[in-house]
Amino acid sequence: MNDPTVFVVDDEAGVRSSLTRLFRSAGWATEDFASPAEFLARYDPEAAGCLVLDFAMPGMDGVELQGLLRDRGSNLPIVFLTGQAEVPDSVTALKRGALDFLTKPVEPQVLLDAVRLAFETDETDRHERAEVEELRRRADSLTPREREVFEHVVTGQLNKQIARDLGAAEKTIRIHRGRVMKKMQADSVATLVRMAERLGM
Amino acid sequence: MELYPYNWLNLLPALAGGSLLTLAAMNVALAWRRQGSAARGHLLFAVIAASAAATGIVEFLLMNTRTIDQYGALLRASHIPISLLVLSIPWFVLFLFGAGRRWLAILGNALWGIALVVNAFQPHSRVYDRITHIERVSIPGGAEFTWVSGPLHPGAWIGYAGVLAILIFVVDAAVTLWRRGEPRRVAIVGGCLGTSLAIGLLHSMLVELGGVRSPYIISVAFVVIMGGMALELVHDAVRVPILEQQVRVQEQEVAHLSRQTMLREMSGGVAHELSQPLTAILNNAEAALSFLERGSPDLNEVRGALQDIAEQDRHATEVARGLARLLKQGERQSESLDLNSLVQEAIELAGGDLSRQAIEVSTHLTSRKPVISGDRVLLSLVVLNLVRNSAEAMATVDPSERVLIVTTGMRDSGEAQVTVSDRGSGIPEADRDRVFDAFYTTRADGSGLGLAVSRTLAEMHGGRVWSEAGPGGTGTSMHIVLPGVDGIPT
Repeated sequence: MNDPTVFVVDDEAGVRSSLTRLFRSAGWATEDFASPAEFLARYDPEAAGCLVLDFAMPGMDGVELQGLLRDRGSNLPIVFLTGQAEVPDSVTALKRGALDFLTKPVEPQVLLDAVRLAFETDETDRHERAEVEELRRRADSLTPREREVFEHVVTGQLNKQIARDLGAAEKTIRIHRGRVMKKMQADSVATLVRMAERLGM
Repeated sequence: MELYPYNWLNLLPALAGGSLLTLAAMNVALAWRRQGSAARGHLLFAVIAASAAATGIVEFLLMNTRTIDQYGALLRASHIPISLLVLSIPWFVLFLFGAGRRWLAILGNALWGIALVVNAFQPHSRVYDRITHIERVSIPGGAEFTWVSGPLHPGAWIGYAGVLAILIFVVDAAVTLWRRGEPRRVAIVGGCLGTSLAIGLLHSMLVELGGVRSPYIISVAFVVIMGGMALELVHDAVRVPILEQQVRVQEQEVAHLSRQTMLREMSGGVAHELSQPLTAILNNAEAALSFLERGSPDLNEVRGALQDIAEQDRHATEVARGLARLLKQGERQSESLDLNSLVQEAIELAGGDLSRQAIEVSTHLTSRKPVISGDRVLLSLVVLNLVRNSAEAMATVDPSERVLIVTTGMRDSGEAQVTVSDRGSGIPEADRDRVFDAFYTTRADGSGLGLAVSRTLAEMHGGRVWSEAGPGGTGTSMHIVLPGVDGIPT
């Protein structure tokens, strides 16, 4: 996996360069943008890391950018920086999943901690999503009949009951069940049930 | 037998005349101090009161006349003060209250004029063809008066018609005032003038036509009436300076509150301005330390951090100097100011709002130094309010169209001018003057005070503000004109 990157969006050049230097000093890769529009144009949704976003910027405010990112299916964690704490705005941002909302001037250590936490959140999130992706790939490799059997197995039915429901021989069901376990790489029915849950079945 | 016996009846016209002359003098004095229609109103009132006083003197003489020829001559002479009375009443109402039909006033005046011409050629006045009978009438209280009778002349009827026309004029004017919802003026015009005219007309007709034995008492009726009217006029005259005083106090309050708001806003801006360099300095310092703690420090990064720290510190110092200047402006002061830099400051102050709304500002500052005199904070607020108002006027306009044009210039009159133009939806012609009224706003969240405060502040500095359609007919242009000063701004 790529190294995580801190994406900094701030219209104040002085603040922007000080932020990227601070993050570089912590050993992280950084990319900076002078406006939300610039960020949207250059941003790669697959890139790992987090976004440090100045709240009040010309043209588009932080909450708007947050909304656009969510619309594009990006789960990039966002740490908001704001000049004056505006409570209603921060509530909106936090409700939409902002990771943190820091009032400038921010103590560098607090900011570094917030970014570190954002990285962890992003990594857990990406890991989780990658696993679900893998499970979905496995589930997609099932034949329609195997999928039917899968759905019955995870409800806790015995082969005999499944055979009756699907109008097939118990022996046939046993073979399908074996294939399902193998394709899904499940070592037990319990594991299979957890997989079904994560797939939202 | 005494010619002028001392009794209550003889005392009445004397008292009436004295009071009426006092009222006349008061109103002449008030006319001197006031202007326009109010002054004319006071002057006409003085004429009416003086005429009523003169009428009182004639009435006194009439009561005590012993011969027919003397009585006739006096009756003729009495038409001079009575004419002034009758002729000035409708114009008093027209000038002071702006009510009544002019043609009725002219008709009444014309009829009375004819009666006067007749009066000039009649030895026993326009009333009597000739006086045939004279007698002394005794009344309780030991008083007596002279009373005459005789066949009437057509001039009597013309005179009655003239007074009747003026009475109708007065009643009509009272109805108009009633419809306008001005009950106090209805009381003056209808109650005082109408009643006195009606009493005068009716009483004269009873004495001359109906043979009722009574002296003329027009002057006495007028004392009561004029007294009531004088109260109203004096009330007005006294109220104006009180109102002016109140306005002055309110202006001072507006100025005080404006200064506070402005200073708060400016210090908020300064705090924000300071937080930027401070944040940058802290981040850079922290980063530099962190780089130095590594085994092989990246000195380029450390150098960059130190350079940025120095630069940001200089920036912070600039801001701090600005703050010090600002704090010095705690008291209202008058100084020479460069309007160009005032405008630039106001635009900078509005900068955050403007860029948030994606408004492009186009500034055209005159090369002739527009120097004005006044309070820097208050005058910045005037410009700032206009800039903000124009920005808000473009809230519904497509962002690419949001252009704010700020122009300064010197007029040929030596006055300095600022014009702020927007490309908003504009102001309907009918509302153009109202936008500067307090509490007038077209926005749901507007207080309607911004432009009103601007106008008050501009006027306090001897200037004025107004609005007109923007260049090319789109949007609105707001103009501020302030008296120019020759000199170099400090």
